[in-house]
Amino acid sequence: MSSPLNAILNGTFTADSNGDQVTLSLPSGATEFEIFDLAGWGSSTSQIMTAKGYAALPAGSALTGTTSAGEALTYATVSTGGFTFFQDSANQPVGAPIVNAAGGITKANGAVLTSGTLYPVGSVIRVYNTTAMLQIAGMDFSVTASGAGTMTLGYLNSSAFANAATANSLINMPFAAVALSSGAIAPDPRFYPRRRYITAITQATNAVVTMSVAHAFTVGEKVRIIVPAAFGMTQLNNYLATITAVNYTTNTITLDTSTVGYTAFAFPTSAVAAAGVTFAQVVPVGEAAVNTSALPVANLLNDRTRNVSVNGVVIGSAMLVATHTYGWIAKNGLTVTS
Amino acid sequence: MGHTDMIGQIDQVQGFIQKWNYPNQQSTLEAEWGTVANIRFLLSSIGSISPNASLLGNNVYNLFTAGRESYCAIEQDGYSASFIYRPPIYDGPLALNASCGWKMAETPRLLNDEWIFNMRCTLA
Repeated sequence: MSSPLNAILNGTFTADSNGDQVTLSLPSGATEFEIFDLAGWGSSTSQIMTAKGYAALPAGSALTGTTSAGEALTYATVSTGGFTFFQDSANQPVGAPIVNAAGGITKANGAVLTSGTLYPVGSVIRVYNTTAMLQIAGMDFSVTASGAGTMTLGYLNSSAFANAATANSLINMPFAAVALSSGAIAPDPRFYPRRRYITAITQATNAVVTMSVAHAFTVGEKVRIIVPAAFGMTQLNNYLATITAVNYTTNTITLDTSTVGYTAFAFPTSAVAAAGVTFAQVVPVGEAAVNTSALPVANLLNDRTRNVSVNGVVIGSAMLVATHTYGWIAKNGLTVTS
Repeated sequence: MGHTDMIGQIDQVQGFIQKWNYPNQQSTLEAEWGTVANIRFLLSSIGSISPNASLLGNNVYNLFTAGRESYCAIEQDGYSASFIYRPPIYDGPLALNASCGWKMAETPRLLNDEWIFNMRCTLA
């Protein structure tokens, strides 16, 4: 690849059906960024037609121009929901620690965490100090629902745990575990695909593995399954598996091996975890054996060694109208000091 | 391979030998801090840390341990990587834009993932 040092770049993107924030990769970075609503041009509905951001302004800032067809443009400044510029998506700071001294975690299929600070769906949070539920302390989770003082950890079935947690602490990780076009700064730091912690494994002809954070595995990839003794199904420990199916809704992968008759997978007790355990994990080790539009040549052997870190800008959802196509211009000019 | 914050911990490992105490200094590496048995510790101030990842929320330091030939870098065409800078004069008659980039014919690959471990630990 190559990237100009002083560049004027342009392109288009289309907001999704929810109008979620969009992360654009700009290899050269940018000091100035502007979008135009191509789909809304000439619309009788008053909306943001254009918005501009500057890297020197605080994250989330923007200058917006709102109008409808034939009307004068009305400019406004916003300090949240605008543009956030970033360099090296894999090297972003984590969020401040959130201590929820009276915040519990329920025993449920889709555990519910109580917190004074909430993060949106798709965020990844690292949970620790989970009093009475230490078997998940230190683990990362995707937030699958958020609101009313709680966040749902949809990929954790804690119903078989002995106790609900009576307190928790957490930090927000600076990345989303999903596609580049949504969520936080970037999909995952730094190499694709990432390892994932296991929250469940079925006893089936083709074992189905559930992971705590949304995954991006694809069929044909090779993964090493790590199941420490404290998690039960030790027969599967260190098995080199091929992924035969994926489900991004239930956040599972299906393996090419039978676990019928194996010891059931189960989290250790909180007391055992307190003495120190290693989590069960799916560790990617290589091979993409299928063609995709993003990766059209099969068997590149680059899984786990492909760097997906980017420079770019996050366009806040407040700037966007769902399904609209936007044109953008990014400028990275020479800085002159005087 | 790990973070320099681990120096105080590694120094106290039973059987640890400082680099300066090696009988042969000719094959030591710049980042090398010492050795325990046949494990050589290479430390850097930008070594890997997982923030708040312990049970009680302490930082967890990742010590990556790789066996010989557990991974490789295949250098195709007999060369590795090149960093290329072109000053603006090559962009056009008005010399408006400089560019830089890299190209490489090198392919890093895992050869045996069972020979690669991540020893995770907190500070004592």
